[in-house]
Amino acid sequence: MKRKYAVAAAVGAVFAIHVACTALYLLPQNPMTRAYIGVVNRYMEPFFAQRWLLFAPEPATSSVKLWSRYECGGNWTGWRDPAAPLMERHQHNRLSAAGKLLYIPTSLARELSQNTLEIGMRLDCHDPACEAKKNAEVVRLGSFRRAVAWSVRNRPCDASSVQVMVAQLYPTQFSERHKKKAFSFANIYDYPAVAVDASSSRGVE
Amino acid sequence: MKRLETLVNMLTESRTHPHTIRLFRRVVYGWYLLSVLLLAPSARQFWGPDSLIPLQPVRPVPLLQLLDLAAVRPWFALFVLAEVALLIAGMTCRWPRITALLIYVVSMNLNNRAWVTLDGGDNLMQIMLIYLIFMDPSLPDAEPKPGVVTWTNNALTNAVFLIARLQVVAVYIVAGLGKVTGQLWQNGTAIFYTLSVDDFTLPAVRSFVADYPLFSVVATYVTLLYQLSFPWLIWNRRFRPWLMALGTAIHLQIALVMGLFSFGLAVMSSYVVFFTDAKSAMVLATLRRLIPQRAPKQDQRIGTAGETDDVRGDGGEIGIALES
Repeated sequence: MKRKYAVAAAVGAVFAIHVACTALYLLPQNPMTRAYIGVVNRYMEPFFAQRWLLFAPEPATSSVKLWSRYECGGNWTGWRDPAAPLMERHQHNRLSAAGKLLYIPTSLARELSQNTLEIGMRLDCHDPACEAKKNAEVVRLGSFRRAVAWSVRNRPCDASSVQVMVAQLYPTQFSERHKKKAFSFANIYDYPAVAVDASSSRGVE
Repeated sequence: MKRLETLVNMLTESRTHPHTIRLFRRVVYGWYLLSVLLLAPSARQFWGPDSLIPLQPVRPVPLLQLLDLAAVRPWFALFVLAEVALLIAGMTCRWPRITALLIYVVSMNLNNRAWVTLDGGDNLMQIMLIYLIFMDPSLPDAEPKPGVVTWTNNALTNAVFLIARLQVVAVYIVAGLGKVTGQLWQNGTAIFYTLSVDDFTLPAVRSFVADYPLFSVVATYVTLLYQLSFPWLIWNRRFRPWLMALGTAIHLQIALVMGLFSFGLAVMSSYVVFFTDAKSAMVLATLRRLIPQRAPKQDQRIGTAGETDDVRGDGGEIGIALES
């Protein structure tokens, strides 16, 4: 009987520690957070890392797109969303890889946008020379080269140059819901055009 | 003292939900199997050497990020094949802990390489994969004689099973309380905005929510009420079926209308931990009738854990009696 109690006590202790750590890990920041978070994080991460703010505190109110335009036969095309066919496929059939594939251009756009913002804040440009320096730095970014690779892989023609743009689209607002608009407003940031060559579509680590 | 003895006996003498654990294991591995089969046609884009998904900046557990290594990456197809084979083996419940551990390692390697494609559903299922390593899915009539090994096995299985339930509750507590402070959740327009964003809607649904604002207001408050009440009402056996039915409807909408298919299905899969053992036994028996089984002699080896879904036997009845 003693051994049975020992087993129960050991398993009970493991249970209590796990439940307590999970609860402390998920608690919002509070005055006591500093006291325990180091120990709790060491236990919870990486195996039990979790974040459950699913559409909270606010739901998604915009979508981030990676748009491109191409120089084909000396003429530039209009801006297009290379992921549009994928989105169409996803909307026609939820049981496909399209939904998860769409995460790739979205994450590329977010990563590129974030990296550009960091460079912009660091350089704090107010003149053309600084802007040129910033652009030179941006085109060397791994995220920029991946964004270009995504665009080149989805090009509509044998393009000689490509230009990418990150567009954050806000849907029609509730107050103007009866106006049939594709979106209400957008934040856009376009990047320097670059020449397309054999290496343009390769992945970058 | 008597109460403590009852508690210790309940924890160690038998496993309280053997059929539910067995069903849960199959549902979770079924979810992973469906996910990997859906992604397989585009495997190169998720896991291949030319994938445009950047590597994660940190590698806390290198064993779970083997596909980050340039030398391993060309062999991504082997990981996909191993995942499929292991998941099928895992669903048979043979060698349950070894297969569960291997499934965790291979799944995490695939997930970590395609990390930008993961959502809350993947997060929940990853944690459930760990819990499944510790849960014994064998049925009571295949249980060996009492002793320290059996007591430990039973206690661990029961404790981890309860942890899995609490994990689902934790998801709803955090998500529900997080939403309460959101302005759009409070003013009833959260569902309108979600279903207006290109990434989470269908063209017809976008028009519908614009034309019928009452729908989005009701849906917003129902979602909020559901998430806030789940952690408390799910423990009430009278409310539980209704709550799970409502949750299933909400998550079907998330899967099919919002297009978060794997997320919706993952949360629905996690509801299985709240099935009563009798219900799970019924589902397993139905599955057993639908899926052709191997010859009976394979199912009746003495001392082999988890070879049958038969719901008969004393142990099964004890399990049903103890379940909450």
